[in-house]
Amino acid sequence: MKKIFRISVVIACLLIMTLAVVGCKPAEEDKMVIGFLSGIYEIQWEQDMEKELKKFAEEEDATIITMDSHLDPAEQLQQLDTMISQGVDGIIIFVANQKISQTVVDKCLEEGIPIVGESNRLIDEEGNICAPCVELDGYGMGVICAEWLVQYMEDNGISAPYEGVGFMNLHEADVSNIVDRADGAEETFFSLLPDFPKDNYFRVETGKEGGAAAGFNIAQATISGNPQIKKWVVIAPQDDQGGGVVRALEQAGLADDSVVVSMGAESARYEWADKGSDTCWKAASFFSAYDCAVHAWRGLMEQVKEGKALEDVFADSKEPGQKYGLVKFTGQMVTPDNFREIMGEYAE
Amino acid sequence: MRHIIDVFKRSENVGLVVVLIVVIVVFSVLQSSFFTVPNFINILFAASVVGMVMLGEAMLIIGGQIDLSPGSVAAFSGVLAAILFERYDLSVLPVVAIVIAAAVLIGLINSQLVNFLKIQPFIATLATMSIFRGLAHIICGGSSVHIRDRLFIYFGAGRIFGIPISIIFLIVVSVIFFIILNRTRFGRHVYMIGGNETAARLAGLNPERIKVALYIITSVLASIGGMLLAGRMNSGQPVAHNGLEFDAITVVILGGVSFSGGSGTLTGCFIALLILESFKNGLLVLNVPVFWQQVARGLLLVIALSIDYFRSIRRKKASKDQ
Amino acid sequence: MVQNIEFKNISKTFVTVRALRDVSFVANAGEVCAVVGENGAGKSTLLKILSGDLQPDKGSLFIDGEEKQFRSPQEAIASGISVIYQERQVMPYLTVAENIFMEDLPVKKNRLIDFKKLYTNTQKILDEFNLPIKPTDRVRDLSVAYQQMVEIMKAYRRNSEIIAFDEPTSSLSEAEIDMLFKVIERLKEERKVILYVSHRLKEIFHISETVVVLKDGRFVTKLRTAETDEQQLVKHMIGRDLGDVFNTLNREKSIGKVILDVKGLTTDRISDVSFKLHRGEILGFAGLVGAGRTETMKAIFGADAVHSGEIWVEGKRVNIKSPADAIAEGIGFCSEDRIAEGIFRVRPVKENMSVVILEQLVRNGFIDFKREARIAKDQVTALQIKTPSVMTKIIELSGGNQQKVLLARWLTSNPKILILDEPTRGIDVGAKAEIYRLIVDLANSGLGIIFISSELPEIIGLSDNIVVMREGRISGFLTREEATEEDILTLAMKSKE
Repeated sequence: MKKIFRISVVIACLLIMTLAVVGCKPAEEDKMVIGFLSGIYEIQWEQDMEKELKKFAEEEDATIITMDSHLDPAEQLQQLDTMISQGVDGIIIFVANQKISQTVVDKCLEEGIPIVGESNRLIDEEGNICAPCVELDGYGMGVICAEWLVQYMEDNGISAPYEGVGFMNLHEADVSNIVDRADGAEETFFSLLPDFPKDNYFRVETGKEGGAAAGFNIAQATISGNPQIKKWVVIAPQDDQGGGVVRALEQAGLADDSVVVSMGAESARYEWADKGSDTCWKAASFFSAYDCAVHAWRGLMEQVKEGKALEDVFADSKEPGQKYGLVKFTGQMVTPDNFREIMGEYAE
Repeated sequence: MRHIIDVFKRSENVGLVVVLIVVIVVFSVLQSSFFTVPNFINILFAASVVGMVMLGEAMLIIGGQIDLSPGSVAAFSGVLAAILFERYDLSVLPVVAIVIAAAVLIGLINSQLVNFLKIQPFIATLATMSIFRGLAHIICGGSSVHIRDRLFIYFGAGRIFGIPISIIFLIVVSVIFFIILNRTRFGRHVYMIGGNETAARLAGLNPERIKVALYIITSVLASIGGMLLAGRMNSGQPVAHNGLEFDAITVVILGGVSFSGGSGTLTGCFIALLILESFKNGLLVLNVPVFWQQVARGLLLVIALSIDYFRSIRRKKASKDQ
Repeated sequence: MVQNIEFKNISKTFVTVRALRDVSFVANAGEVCAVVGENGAGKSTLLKILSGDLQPDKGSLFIDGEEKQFRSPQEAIASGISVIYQERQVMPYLTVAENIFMEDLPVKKNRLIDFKKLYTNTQKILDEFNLPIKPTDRVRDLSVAYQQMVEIMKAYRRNSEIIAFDEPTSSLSEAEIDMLFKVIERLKEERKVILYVSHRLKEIFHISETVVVLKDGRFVTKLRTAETDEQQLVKHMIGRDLGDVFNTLNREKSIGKVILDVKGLTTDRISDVSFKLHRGEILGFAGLVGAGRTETMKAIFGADAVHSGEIWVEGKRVNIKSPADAIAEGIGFCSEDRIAEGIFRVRPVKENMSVVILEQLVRNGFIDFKREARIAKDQVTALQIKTPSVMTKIIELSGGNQQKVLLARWLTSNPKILILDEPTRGIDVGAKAEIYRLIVDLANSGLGIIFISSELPEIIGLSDNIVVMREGRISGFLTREEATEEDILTLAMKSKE
């Protein structure tokens, strides 16, 4: 018996130590508590979101509780229950799967808890928005990247009849936001350069694996399959894929004349910090969690503080025919020369 | 008092009970909102699906088998149910009947791979895990399917007297299998084939038939869990339940079931389930940073299993002294 | 160059069994020294001590007069000793060359394996012995005989001066045995010390110069092979003394009608086995390990597939496809391998006993725990099983008591025929006597008992009639009155003419 007692004391100490080490404090009673239901905390974006939200919370003397569902909708519903039973004052959610949106929103309405969706729209069975949301304007991102690319081509004498010039536009068919980005890029590119030969246009599928390896593989296959192309102009919808394309161009010996534009800038910044402008990775569109968090926080505070009803949030940015507001944010272009000043702490 | 202590000492699950108490006490002290009825209901609610699969997995491992496919089977069942509702417009009863029939078939496939093709259970069910995950994606075209049937959703998300129906399901099924495993001939046979399959065969048992039953039970339980959850999410999700079987296996091992088969109790597994879910919930409630939660969960496993280790050493010593 | 190896006063005791007692002899270079003895005479233990697998309790090895104590197989190998075991120790998925040079692969300057050198060196060795295999062959694709050759080549490559063979011909054909003997002759020319353990007397006379006889773990004699014959060797091997345990047994002679009639039973491992068992009879089965006794019983019990033959129980032809069928016909079978095929290690005594009769204990779908415990307690009393309680895990009991629990398992099912395969293996003398008494009591009560044992005194002391098997066939029937250990051993060992 003594031993069991001793063992349990040891466990208790270990547990307390573990918790002490991670520095958790019990929430105070009257403080405002905001729940952040992260879809997949492993990605940098969500960690940045948490960081930005915490900054806003600090100003209001509020606390952020973060829970991670690992993209498991069941887990997320569970965490929603836990948050509700913990009496949170509002919820910001990256919904793990859009199909559970209505369940999530219904629960919050029932409990009278304000909610704003981020990144992944909250939609009902018909695909209509069912709670205020903030999301990245994928199409808009494609637009600004294509605009920058076309300007670059004009500045560097890449012009009609575009002999030996190929336009590679990466996309991933299963992810709607990526498809939007690629569509935006494609449509803008051809509306600005209607003479660009369709034979020299390559819209390529990166497949599910994602990441730099996927970008590298698909680019290498496209480059070696089209030896007539000597100059590549490339738009990659994800930054690490852009990095893969750059490596593939370098290995094919085509890097000097080619140009890669990517979206996100979280990988490009390393390349630029390392090599300066001595790379064919010429630009990236940059957006940060701040752009998202600022709107999400505003939307939530409109409910928590001003007591606005769900349908009155983001009233000025509703899409036609929609009951709830949707804020779309885009980014801005950064290059090796200006990325530090524009990206600020995200450049490090 | 002496008597109570004696019972306590002899019980296999002392270490687990101690851990459970410590976990609950520590979290309650650190955060008062942990120790509330709604939160305990949350904990049980979260445990309900893993609990279902745990029951099947525990019996399989006691019987010297293992099944890696329940997560896929649960996802497949949820999607299948959703499709039967949406595309074929069936009502709850036929849908449940068809899905359970499919689960029986899956269990049959698993057991025949093990019995007739003599594939190691680990490998055989690794294969079916992949197959049924794939099929779950195929039958719904890769994206999740909405469920509108009110009754079906009620089973997944509804409550009776404030208690979620999933919990009632889990408790009823647990009691049934507790009785089956402990009091019936079939249950005893499970222990025997897990303890020594050759000896069991020579004692006139039919290990193949018992394995068929075990794999079917596990698939059906996974399928019921999958349907309950689909009801709760208003949709069949092909990506749901990833890693469900590993959660269940972790609980089973923590619950004192020997990986080599032949010993263990469902009571131990149930306590282990409560420990893991309480701990998970406690970390959330305390707002421990996400990555530290993973570290803490690993530490809990190490601690709980080392208690088991020290206890077994003590038991060995005791039996040597005799 | 090693001149001789001497075993001096080697003793080894396992928990309850004294495997070797004070064994001393010398084996010289340039000759083959055969080691013979009955099952359990201590041959395998001796080899394991030589290879460093086991350490002797007393005594030492001397190589050219220098004392050696091996704490591990590595140390034995370093001293130039290689043992070629019955179970091959090769790596099936590696090549011949990789196996032969296992722990000493030639490497290039850059620490990568020098395959060219590896293959030429291997080829050189293979050529020396005229072996028609290639260094690049995968061992798993070779026949058993060549796998054995690979092991011998490995020993040769290590420059092992002392090479021991453990039943090397047990799974070889005649032609392959010839090849093996050629290789051994070649090793003899190289003046190696060769120890050759076998119970095939014909081979011993063919290959060896001297022969050492062991009995009950003791050294009996060392003879020059040329100066002895099979009969004399057998005489040296027998004659064990177990005291007068058997005389005190109260055996009633009450043999009744035929209860089991086996006709022409044939499986993968046995051919054309026929015998009759009567009510109240103890039928002993003698033979060497691997003679097919256990296989015969497993075939009768439905555990092994039967190709042809008939089984009649009480004058009725039965079709037994599984142990469950056999049990339904009233047959019980206690396996020779108590741990692997008998007990449920982690389960309590009570469950180990009730497994066969569980069906009878079920009431309204549930097991009647009280009745189960009562039956178990009755058996514990009746068989004087020493256990703290019926809930104790069986693995915590001694070997003898485990065996009694297994006997109890079958007794509770009221069988007509009970097959006991080596029921006294690995248990101490006192427990053995109790088991003998039990067997006799059971036979007196009218059961037909088949009693397999490798210990001749047991067979002779207990059986009413004796069946001797050799190489999957029955080689003779003896009655208790006419049986002597010599007769049995001759029938069990005599080489094929």
